Amino acid sequence: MTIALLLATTADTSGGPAALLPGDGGSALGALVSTADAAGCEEVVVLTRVAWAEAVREQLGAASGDDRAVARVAVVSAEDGAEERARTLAVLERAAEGGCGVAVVHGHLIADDVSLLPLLDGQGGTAVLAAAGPRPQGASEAVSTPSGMSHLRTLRGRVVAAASPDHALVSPTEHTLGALAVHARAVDDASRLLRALAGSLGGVGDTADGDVMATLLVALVRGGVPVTARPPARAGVATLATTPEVARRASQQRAQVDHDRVLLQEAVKREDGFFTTFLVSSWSPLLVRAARHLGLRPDTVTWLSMGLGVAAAAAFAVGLTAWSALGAALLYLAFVLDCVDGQLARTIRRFSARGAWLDAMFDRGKEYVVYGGLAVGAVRGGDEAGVWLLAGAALALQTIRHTLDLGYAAQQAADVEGLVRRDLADPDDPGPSFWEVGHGGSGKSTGDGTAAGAGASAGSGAVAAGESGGRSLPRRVILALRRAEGVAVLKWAKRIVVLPIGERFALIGVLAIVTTPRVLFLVLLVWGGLATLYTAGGRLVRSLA
Amino acid sequence: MSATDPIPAWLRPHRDLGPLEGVLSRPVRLPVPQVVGAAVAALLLVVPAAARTLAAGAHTLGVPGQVASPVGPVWVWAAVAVAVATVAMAGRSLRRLDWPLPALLRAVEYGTVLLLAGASPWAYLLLAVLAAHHYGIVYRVRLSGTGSHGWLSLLAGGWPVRCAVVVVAAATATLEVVVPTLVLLLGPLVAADALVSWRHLGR
Repeated sequence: MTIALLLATTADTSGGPAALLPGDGGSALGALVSTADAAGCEEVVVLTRVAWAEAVREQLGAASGDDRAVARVAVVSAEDGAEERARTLAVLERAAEGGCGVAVVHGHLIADDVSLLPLLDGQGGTAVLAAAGPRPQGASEAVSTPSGMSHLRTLRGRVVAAASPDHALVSPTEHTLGALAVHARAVDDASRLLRALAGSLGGVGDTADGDVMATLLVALVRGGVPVTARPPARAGVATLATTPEVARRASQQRAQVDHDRVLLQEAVKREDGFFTTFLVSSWSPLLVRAARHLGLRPDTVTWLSMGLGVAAAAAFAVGLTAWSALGAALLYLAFVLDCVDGQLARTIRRFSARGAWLDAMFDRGKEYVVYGGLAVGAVRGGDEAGVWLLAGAALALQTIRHTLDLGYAAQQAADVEGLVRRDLADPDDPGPSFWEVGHGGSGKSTGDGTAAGAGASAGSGAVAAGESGGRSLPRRVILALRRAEGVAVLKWAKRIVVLPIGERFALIGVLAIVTTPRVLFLVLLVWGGLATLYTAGGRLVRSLA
Repeated sequence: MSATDPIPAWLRPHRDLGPLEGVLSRPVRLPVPQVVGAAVAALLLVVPAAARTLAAGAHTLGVPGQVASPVGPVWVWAAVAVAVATVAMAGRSLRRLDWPLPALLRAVEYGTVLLLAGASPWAYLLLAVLAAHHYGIVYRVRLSGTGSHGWLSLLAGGWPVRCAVVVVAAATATLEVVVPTLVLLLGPLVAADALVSWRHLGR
């Protein structure tokens, strides 16, 4: 359950409330109320300036129908920044009592439902809608006035520093787009931290222009609450409009968004391996659609995938080429379903820790059952000498590689944890010292993790921070490698060479048909061994940089 | 970075020390970093284990226990490596370079099994059970913030004890009995642990 707090406090270019600029459902604000409704928010609170309260009430009254499921739409008003913070605090405290999350959204944000649902339905964790790069400066009319965008710096998708009118930020990597979700688990911390920060800011009579979102974000980040930077849908729209022209254009775009298509597109992970991206995710949305129509749960698909993996192992165990071909086909299908379960969960927005656990355990289970099946096949084929040793070594190597990834990610998370926590009131930003953890890298070279997303902007913080920092040799190497990522061929080459799960499964399938399990295991061991040295070496350099 | 640095919280469950956790986590610290000791031990095991595996792959060597060892029987070599790794656990944390430690400890344990008992289906099953145990720890930490259930980490023995059992079995030529026994003892434990996770994570 979520309480949506819509901030109708920003002025448009003519001095009126930007939230009431024309849009679907009468106004930008009206459209947001509908989205909050669709996301299952149990309550909507609109916070506006005292002078605009009447107009806002009128607008919402005119737009509301009898079919609205949202229990309550309340309009409250504030005179200044201090009062705005107090009102926000009241909403957070009420949410904490009711065990709800809170989604703070700028009333003049015009965005499609696919982009907004993860922030409004309480299932996306504590997250902020953000786009890559610094805030556009006067690039369009939309940003010629204070419009509710603020700067962020992220590391592997986590916000590590945030700006507000009272907090500076150097080398930003992203800017906010006017929506911040506080998960139900974090509302207690959020209200405590915002109260502490509001206290240090005092009762300064600054204008109420929606900066409470930036202030809350700073409080969360510096208080150590993990906040994810979440990009809007790739084919979606997220515009903070402060002129009628921009509002009209954004509303038109919003109306043209093909909801189902964008939803399926968003269900596919952004950063995935070559094989997964081009030979699985290119058609897996068809299966996601089918699974939806059949009403399958993601967990059911995970079990099906494991079943296919066991069937593939059984086919490999026969030890005949024709059966190995069948095994390869079954293994490919098992891998496709392995991608479908996650895509289905993201499409129907049904997540569970149990589902993630099952998926992760079965991923490994499938692979190691298949190794076993291949070894049995070799033994039955009369090629027994040392083949169990090879299978065992392949299993051991894969587990060790995976543990390296997980250890690196865990340590980075711990390092960031130690550096983000800061004095709430400190007006300055630690800036380039973040290089200390800015050694970047995705932390999941095998691409097998279930980790929360390494965002699209992963590592860009390292570049920004590193360029203003020192220029030791290791740093220059890292920066050069990072720039090379911009070249598509190199990017894919780097991802293939580390033999992620998709490439590994494809390699197993092909080699099982064209050669013996013995050769297959040797190839896996040699390639995997070299990939281990490559990634571990790179990370060692980063750790020392 | 003093010699009494505590072990970082994230690292604790991944060390998988079982009943030895208390003994090896005392504030009394060796001056040598854990990760260095573990790396030396892992190299001592992984190099001969890899040599044996690749040789087996190339058909020149397939029978267990026939790797030439500079210190007498190969189990002595493994015993030295496991002892080095175990003692290293009383070393200090290197902070920014701690991340390879969990993988190095897995390499020590899997390397011991591969080197001493690798060429049988039971050894493969033992490695699979151990991997399931370790993935169980990793994913539980990630999804619920806590490591193995206390009873499991005690009963599973921790890697130093498990490695010692395998080494002793190799020394007494009882691997054919001991490895299947380990599988049959640890398998149900790990399965029970998975069931508990399944129920715990469901809610």
